Amino acid sequence: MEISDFEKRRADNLIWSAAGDYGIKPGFRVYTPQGEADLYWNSIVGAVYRHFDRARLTEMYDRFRGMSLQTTFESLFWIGMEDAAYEREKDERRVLPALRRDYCRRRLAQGMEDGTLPERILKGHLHHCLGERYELALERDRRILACLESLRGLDTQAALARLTALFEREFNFDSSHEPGEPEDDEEKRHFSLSFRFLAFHKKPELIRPPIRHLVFGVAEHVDEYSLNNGDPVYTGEGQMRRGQTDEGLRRYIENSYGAPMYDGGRVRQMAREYCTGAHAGCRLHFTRGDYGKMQRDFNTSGQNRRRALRAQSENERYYSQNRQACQMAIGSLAERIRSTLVAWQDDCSVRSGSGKLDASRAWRAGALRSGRIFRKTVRGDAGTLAVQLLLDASTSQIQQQQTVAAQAFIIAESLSRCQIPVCVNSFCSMSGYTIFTQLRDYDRPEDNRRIFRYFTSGSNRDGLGIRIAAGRMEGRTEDRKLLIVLSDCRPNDVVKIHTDGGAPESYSGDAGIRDTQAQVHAARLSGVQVLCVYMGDDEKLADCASIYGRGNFARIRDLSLFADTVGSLIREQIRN
Amino acid sequence: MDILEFLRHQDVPDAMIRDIQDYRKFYKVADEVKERVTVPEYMYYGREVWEEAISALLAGENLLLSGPKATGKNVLAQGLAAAFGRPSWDISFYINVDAESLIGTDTFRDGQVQLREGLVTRVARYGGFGVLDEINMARNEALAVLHAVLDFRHVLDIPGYGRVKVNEAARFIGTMNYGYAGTRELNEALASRFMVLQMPVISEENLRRLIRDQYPDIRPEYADEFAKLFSEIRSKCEGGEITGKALDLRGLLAALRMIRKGLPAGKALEMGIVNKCFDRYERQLVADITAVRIPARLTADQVFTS
Repeated sequence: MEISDFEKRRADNLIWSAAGDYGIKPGFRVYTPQGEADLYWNSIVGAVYRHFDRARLTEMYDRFRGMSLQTTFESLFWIGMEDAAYEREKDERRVLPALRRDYCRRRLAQGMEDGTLPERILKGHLHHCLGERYELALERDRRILACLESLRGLDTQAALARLTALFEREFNFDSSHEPGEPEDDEEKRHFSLSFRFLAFHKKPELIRPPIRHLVFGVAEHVDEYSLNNGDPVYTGEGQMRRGQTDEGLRRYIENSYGAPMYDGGRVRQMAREYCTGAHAGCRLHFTRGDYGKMQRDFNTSGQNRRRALRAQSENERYYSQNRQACQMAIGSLAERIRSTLVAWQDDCSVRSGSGKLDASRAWRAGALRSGRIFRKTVRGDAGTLAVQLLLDASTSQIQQQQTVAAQAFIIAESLSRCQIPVCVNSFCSMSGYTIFTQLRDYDRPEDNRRIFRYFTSGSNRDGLGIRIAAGRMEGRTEDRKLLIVLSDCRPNDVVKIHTDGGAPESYSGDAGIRDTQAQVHAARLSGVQVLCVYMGDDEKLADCASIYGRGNFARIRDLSLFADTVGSLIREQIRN
Repeated sequence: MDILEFLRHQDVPDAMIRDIQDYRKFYKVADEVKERVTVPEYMYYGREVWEEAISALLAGENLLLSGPKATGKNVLAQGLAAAFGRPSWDISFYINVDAESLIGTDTFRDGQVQLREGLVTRVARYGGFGVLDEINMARNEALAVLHAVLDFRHVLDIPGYGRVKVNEAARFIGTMNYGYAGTRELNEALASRFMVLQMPVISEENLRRLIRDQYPDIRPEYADEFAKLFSEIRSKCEGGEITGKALDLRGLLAALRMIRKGLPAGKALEMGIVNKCFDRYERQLVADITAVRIPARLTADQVFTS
């Protein structure tokens, strides 16, 4: 199930509100079957964090992982904790009874099968929550539900002890089970009949996806994204396939970076347009970074996909760890941009009944008794602006991958708040292909978090990247167009520059810088202003200055200075 | 409640209140601007802030109130004007305000070109309180006008019309939200002409008192819930999750008024708070905050005793 980034953000906000702590990182989110953040359940998750010892709860919850009855334990655990947290929270949050009633009615209306044990237990619990008499048919079910509804008033230790005892008694739960490990077959022989039925007739799945259906809703286990899940470790950049056919290489690039977003004809047309001069012989691949099932599972390219997923998880973690500073930077940058836009207005002089006397019209006062003999200055329309962020996604950025992702997110989010259309692309080169990954389109502000999908690989043909980015902005109807490149200004690619009569020149060093400089100049001539947020070291700072020109780049040494620096840079461009 | 009585309830020292009364007696208000002496709709809660502000104004200083949104800067400014019994003018420093709109501009009246006085000129002439709202949004040419008015010269030069001496009773109270309009620093020359008061965030307890004062028949548990709702919105703003649009204390109090008129709480809060956010994602986040604090179907008879 695909959950949108916005619904994740909603869930986080509900949890933070209920927990009364904006510093925590929610490890568990709950959604409705439609993929929307569940108001009631996420409030309960926050309340659990608030009233109970999260570390101890997590310690027990993690033990379920890898067990055959994992989702059963998880469902029952949360039913019990919901009841316990509700009792503690209901007097502090008077809306909770109404939210609970709404949830119970909605869940019952969805239809409850009596088939599985968690469903039967939940059904009984929901009826009890609504104040209705409801008797479960099986004695064992009644015992389990009574125990789950007896956690009220207990502290963490007592509640966990009672849950553990319940699971051991009814399910032969192994409280010493190591998270993620398979269960001991010897022990299974002693399991109860019902457990043996479930354990041996349903093939156990040791690794379950982080987003899984529990009986009360769709649950996302955020911490599980960072688990390796036994994936093979990515082995490096050795994907250049010598002697590979064109078709094989194209398929390899598609499998590695995601399905193409344009059909073959359009890509060929764009190649004819952009891959000329210094970039003759380059091939293009445009993607949104979406993978089909085959691409996910395909061995070699699957590595890239898994690496991308890991990168996303790292990027999100970095952002989460620096959330406060990033959010401050977003707020501050948004205000700076907004103020700049307000200030960036063309004055015009109009006739008026007050203002500065217009001597040439003074006769009207006497002859026509008209008071409109003055002129006053009014401010004109602020005009429109479109921005594209272009992220260098080459391997040389690997050390600052998380920083680049966070900074791109800050800029995109700030611009979104000012209702400025912004598009975010990353680019890299691999095996002769320049790959353009569209992370966020102009009219998709809800996709800002997709920027965290940014990951690094291959090399970077900056000149071609800027040429394509600027070219794709030409069709935009906004008055002003701004291209912001986040790069370390070290262009490098395997496809050489073919010059008339001379030997092919390597696309690196001075040649690469000269070409990038030329493309920046061409972009500016076509009406696209180009800025750089420099991500490299001191050594190459002079190259950045020569490519973009003084006053058109900024180097960010500290996140706290991000809004000031980038804000000033954008302001200067808008003013010019 | 009379505002001086309110100040006594706030434990503002009697000596200070007596000084205000002396000031009122000494500086009379011209008849033509008497309707500008207003009774504030809301009161500012916070004894220390009142004391500091009153001291500065009694000492003849101008005051700059600096603080984030919804800290009561304008409520305090209005309260001060009312306490001192002076006519007040709100001068909003949006980007189009220029020197002419402050000083005055030529207009054609009775067959001749005459000066139509700007707001600063009127404050200077009538000894009023000029509330310079969002002063750090002002353009430099507008700020330059204020320099001579605010410092020891206390004069206003009007090109072509001469000089206006600033009335002794006049005071200027600037408000600014530094974080909000961060692109503009207040220049030092102007800042040095004010006493600066950093406005604290209203505490949950003071917010409860404010709600109870506005709606004496509100049930205590709901005064508490609405105060908590506002605190939660503020936390989200401070955390950068949402902008300050929903942090609207007037909107919250207006929502309560609508609940009393019979609108369910969900709808009233939607109009008073949630719909202030025009970005649909932000609106959804704010809607969530209200939904998990105040029941949408809550009605007047549940919230109020009468």
